[in-house]
Formats: sequence, C-alpha cells, structure tokens
Amino acid sequence: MEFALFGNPNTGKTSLFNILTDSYAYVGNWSGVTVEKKVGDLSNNKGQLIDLPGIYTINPLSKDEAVATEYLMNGSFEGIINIVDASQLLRNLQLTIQLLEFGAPMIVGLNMIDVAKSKGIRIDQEKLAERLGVPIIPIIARTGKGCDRLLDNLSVHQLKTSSIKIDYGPEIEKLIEEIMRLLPSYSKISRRWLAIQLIDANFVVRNKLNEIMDLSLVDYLIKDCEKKIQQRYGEKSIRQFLFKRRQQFIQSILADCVTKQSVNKKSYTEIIDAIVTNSVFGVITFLGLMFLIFKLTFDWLGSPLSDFLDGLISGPISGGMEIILEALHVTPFIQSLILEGIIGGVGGVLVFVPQIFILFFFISLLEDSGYMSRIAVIMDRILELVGLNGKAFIPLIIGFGCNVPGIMAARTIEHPKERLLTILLTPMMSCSARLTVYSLFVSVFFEQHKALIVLSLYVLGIVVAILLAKIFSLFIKTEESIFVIELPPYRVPQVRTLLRSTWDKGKGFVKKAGTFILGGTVVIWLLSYVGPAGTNVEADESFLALFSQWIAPLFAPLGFGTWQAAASLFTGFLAKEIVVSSMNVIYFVPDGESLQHIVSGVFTPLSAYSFMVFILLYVPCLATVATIKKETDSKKWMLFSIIYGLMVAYTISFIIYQGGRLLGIGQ
Amino acid sequence: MKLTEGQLGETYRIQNLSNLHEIVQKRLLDLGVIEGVEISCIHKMPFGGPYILEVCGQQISLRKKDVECIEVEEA
Repeated sequence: MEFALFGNPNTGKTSLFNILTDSYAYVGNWSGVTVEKKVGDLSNNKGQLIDLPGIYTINPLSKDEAVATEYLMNGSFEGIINIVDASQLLRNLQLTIQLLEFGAPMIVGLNMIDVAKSKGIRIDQEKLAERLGVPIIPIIARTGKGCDRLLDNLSVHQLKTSSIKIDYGPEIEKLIEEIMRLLPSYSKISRRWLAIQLIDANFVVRNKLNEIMDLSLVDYLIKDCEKKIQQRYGEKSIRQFLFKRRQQFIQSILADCVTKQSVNKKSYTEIIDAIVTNSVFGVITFLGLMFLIFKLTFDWLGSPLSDFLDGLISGPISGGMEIILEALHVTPFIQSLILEGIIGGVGGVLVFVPQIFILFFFISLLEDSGYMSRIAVIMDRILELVGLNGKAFIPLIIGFGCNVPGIMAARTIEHPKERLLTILLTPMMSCSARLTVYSLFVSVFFEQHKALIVLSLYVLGIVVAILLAKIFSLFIKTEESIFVIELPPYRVPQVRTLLRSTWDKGKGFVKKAGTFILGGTVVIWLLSYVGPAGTNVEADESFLALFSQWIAPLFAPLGFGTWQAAASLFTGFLAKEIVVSSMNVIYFVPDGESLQHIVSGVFTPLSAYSFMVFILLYVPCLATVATIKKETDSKKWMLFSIIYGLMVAYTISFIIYQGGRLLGIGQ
Repeated sequence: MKLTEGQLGETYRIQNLSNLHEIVQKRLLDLGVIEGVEISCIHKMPFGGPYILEVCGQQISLRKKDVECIEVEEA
C-alpha cells in the first residue's frame, strides 16, 4: 500500500517522514521523467510512504514543485497524508483544498500545534475535521508526539474522501461545466479538478491533457471568462480570483474553528535574525560559521579521527591480514591483490570517512535549522552580479558534500537558465571525495596550515565558479532573474533527523568505497601488476605505466609530469577518491603512512598545490557527469561540463605552477 | 508610495503589485501576498541587496528592485 506525503515547504514534512518510516526503501526514477522519488517503509509495515517536494499549491512554478503535481496525477497511491502548519493555516489550507478537490482519500496531520499555541492560536480540531470532511490528527513532528496515532489511522477505511465543493461563483462554475464536457469521460482523475487546474493555468495538467486532446477551445473559453471576471469583479487575473474564492472559503472555516489571542513576545527567530541578517554582522557571521565548520571538519575533529582510523587500517588490520594470508599459504598474486590492491586502495579512502561524515553533519545542520535560506539572502547580491540568484548558493553548499545532490538541489530554482548555470557550476564546488586527495597532500606538505590550505582550495572553487558564471551568463542569456524566498522560523534541529540525514548523505560514500572504488582499485592494481613481460613486473614496466607515459608529458608544465600522476588522474574520472587509491596501489604501499613518505619525494609543495587545484577543477566524476546529463536532459551540456572543466583546470594549474616557479615559491 | 520609501519596521497596506514580474506575482500569490494585505520591511541587506519582509505572518525575502515595484499606503 502506498501513501503520498504532501505539504507546504518548511512545515516539518521531512521530520514526519523520518518518524513514520524506518528507512528509505529506495530512491528511484520516474519513468520518462528525470525525477527522483524517495520511498520509505512505514514503521508499522503496512505500506510505503512517498516523500514529495514541498509545494504551496498544486500549480507549480519550479521543476521541483512539478514533481509533486506529476505524482498526484500519475502516481499509484492509495491515500494522501497532508501535513499542515497549524500556525499558518490560512496559507496551508490552500493546498489542502486543492488536494480535497482532487478527491483522493486523505488524512491531515495538523503539525506544530505547540508553535500555534505559543502564538495564541487555538484550533477546534473536531470542528475543522468536520468542515473539511477528512480526519485530522494533531501532531508535533519534531518530537514525534501524535505521530503514532497518525500511523494507526493510516488505512484505507479510515481515510476519507471529502465531498467538499467550493462555489467559485456563477461565471467560473459555468466555465468549469463547459470544460468538463470537453474533457474525455474516461479520465480516472476528477474532471472538476482537471477543469479547475486548467483554469488556474497549471502547466503540468495542461501538458498532460494536451497530449490527448485539442485545448484551443478550452483556452478560448478561459480567456473569455477571464475578461468577464476582470470586468465584473475588477480582479487582475482569473488565478487571483480563484485564490480569493478559496481564501474566502478557508476564512469562513477558520472563523468557526480558530480563535486567536495576540501574544506580544519577541520570538527566537526575531532575536537571532537581528544579528544573522544584520547588514554588517550577517556576512561576518556567515564567514565565521563557514570557517568554524572547516576547522572542526579538518583540524579539531576530523584529523584525529582519520589518523586513528589510518593507524588501525595500516597497523592491526593490514598486519593481521598478512599473518592470516601467510598462514593460509595463499599465492603471492592473491596476497598482493588483497594487501596492496584492496586494503591499500580501499583502506586509503575509508580513512577519510570521519571527515566526510562531519562535513555532511554540518550541511544537514544548516539545512535543518533554517539558516540555509538566510544564506541565500545574504549571498544574493553577489550572485546577482554574475547572473545568478541567491538560491543558487544552496546547491553550491550542498555540492561541498557531494556534487550529485547539489546538482539535484538546483531544481528549486524557478528560472530554467539560472538553473542550468547553477548545474554547470556546481562541479566547481570541492566535494568531499576531493577532500581525500587534499588530506593526503596537506598532511605531507602543509602540516602547519592544513585548514587554511584546504579552505583556499574551496574558496578557489567558489571564485572560479563566480567568474565562470559571469562568462557563461554572457552566452546563456538570463532574462530577468527571479528571487523570492521564504525564511522559515529557526528550529532547534532534532538529533534523529540530523543523524538520519547525515547518514543518508554519507552512506553513498561508504557504499561507493565498497563497490566502485573497490572495483576500480582492483583493475588499477591488475594493470600495474601485469605488463608486456608477464605478471609481477616492475611498476615502470606495467601496462599502466606504458599507457600513462603517453599522457604524462602533457602535465609536465603543471608540475606533475610523472606517469603515476597521469594514471591516477585518469582513474580519478571514475570517482575522485580513486586518485588516492590509485597512488596507494601504484606506489606499492599498503597504507597511508608510507605513501606520504613517497609523495614527499615526488612532489614539491608547489607542484602538490598545482596537483590539488587540478583535481579540484578537472572533469566532474562519472556520477556527477551522469547527473548533469539527467538534469539538463542534454548530452551537449554534459560534454560541455567535461571540456570546460579540463580547460579551466589546465589553465589555472599552469598559472599557479609557472607563476610559483617564477616567484620562487614552494620548490 | 513605493515600499522602499517606507520606514523599516513600519506596517503598510499593499495597493498594487501588478508592476512585478509575473513569476514573482505568482509566487507572492502562493504565499498569500495580494493587494490589501499588510506588509512591513524588517531588514535590508547592504549594497542594494535583498529586503526581508514580514507579511501574512511569515518572513520572505525579495530583491530591492522588486520591493520598489510594490506600491503601498499607510495602514
């Protein structure tokens, strides 16, 4: 049994989803549409819950919102859970009404009753349920209060289909009837709902109907009616008229069910915002927070944990395995594969798991607390100058964790061209996989200034992205850009939600280490183990070396023209962490400790920095490239992202290395 | 008058929104922001950056050029 979760943005949808479900069963694709859906198993094992993007109305503006509408029309759900913010009923019920008009069995989760109470709002739930015609369960999704009851009520015979019918006035009602007569009679979706959505100019509904019928008569009727509405009621548009009729209906319900006493108390949000969105302190607070996050991730918390893990892998695990393999009299080939290939390669990447999880934890914290939308406001002025929008900063920050969800987060940007720009620039954000490379090199060459050097790379990524945005926006003409963003009240993040979203983001990395990187490492190991002369050849005689020697001279002007560097860069296209695994394998070192020793002999601080810059900017990894193709729906943009990345990386690394040599720094 | 000409923290009533970009108008409608509703500016970002507005019991942010298009009167 499948249930769909609908609600406005920032109403606690994710918290409710996390409480009602045990785990994400899967994240999959819709057929035909490039859209991701999140499905979770209900914790009473009675079915599955589909998590949909937050929407204000069924009539979408952005691609993200269109997902919800498309699911409503094409999904195979048995019932709807509509989560409603009790402190914002007037706005939230607009969506509820449209869902009720749709006519699917539904239950309402009346969330944040505690917030409503503190604002002096009292709601008569029974009366409200009666007026809406569907059951209403009061809940506090953040603490889980009432959610058990909601879960118990989730069965088809308890969910009700409301018989609610809003009177849109004689002109519109006549129009609805006329359109209903034109619609195909076999439609499984309520024809009244389809007609209302057509009048509201819902493009998803329109496109779908346009496939099966000619809409020119419908369009004519709507145009004609709009004129009448404008003349008779002095309304600006038919859409606004529909909105007002719904609002009147909602107001009549609220007048019966809700009482409000004014409470004169400064909220937390106002107090925090006085500093955080202050014109002077806002930017300082933001930069300070970013610096703190980096310090914690790389210096204070992350490094000791990574070192500990590294000690464990290179010491007891590697040593223990060697003893076991010896005892089992395993052939040298297999021994070498396991110790040098698998433990060396995969272990070298696993060492960075703590840092990656810490970074994801902070990104989740920013998302969950409500600060993320303030960042969009603070950054909007700068991004506007380069043809982007403050909202683009959110995908970019998420891109620090992993570019793939970052690119997907660009869906919330309403303007298609701004969205495309954001997608193309997100790969410049230094993702956590690249971090593994930095961690390796900074610990060798920049022991004293670890966090600073890593921060400089992140900043370089942002600066390059901003410059490129300016250049791209000259070609990809953005018309007028749009920036409207809701600033939700701050909320104390819930531990459960935080841990879960950290895990959801980070588990991909661990999984990747076990599959992709394991496979890649084994292949690289094999290529470096065999050569024209047979197996177990000297590294320089292997197929990997022979192949890489062709490309290596290309990188000489950048300071790293060795075949080893070329080979690891080549494999880094699969996933950037593989660069570290490859180096571990190529240099025949079973653990990070001695790789650091070798690296310090092959690179200079300058060429190491140039190498890190190259890793930062060159081709996005395979998964990112695939996501770009999916999200832009274009091979052209995918190829473009690969080519411009290579060009930019080569140019900037060249400038850094040659410039550094001229100035005589870091040799 | 334009909303940008008003005082920070003062409440005004919206008179006209039709000069705004159509998509902005639609999003504002979704948020319940229509003519006749009360609105106030609570913060503004430096260097001509966006404004933070309080309207219909929620906070939203709009660019300065859009806020200039909102015509208001004394509430």
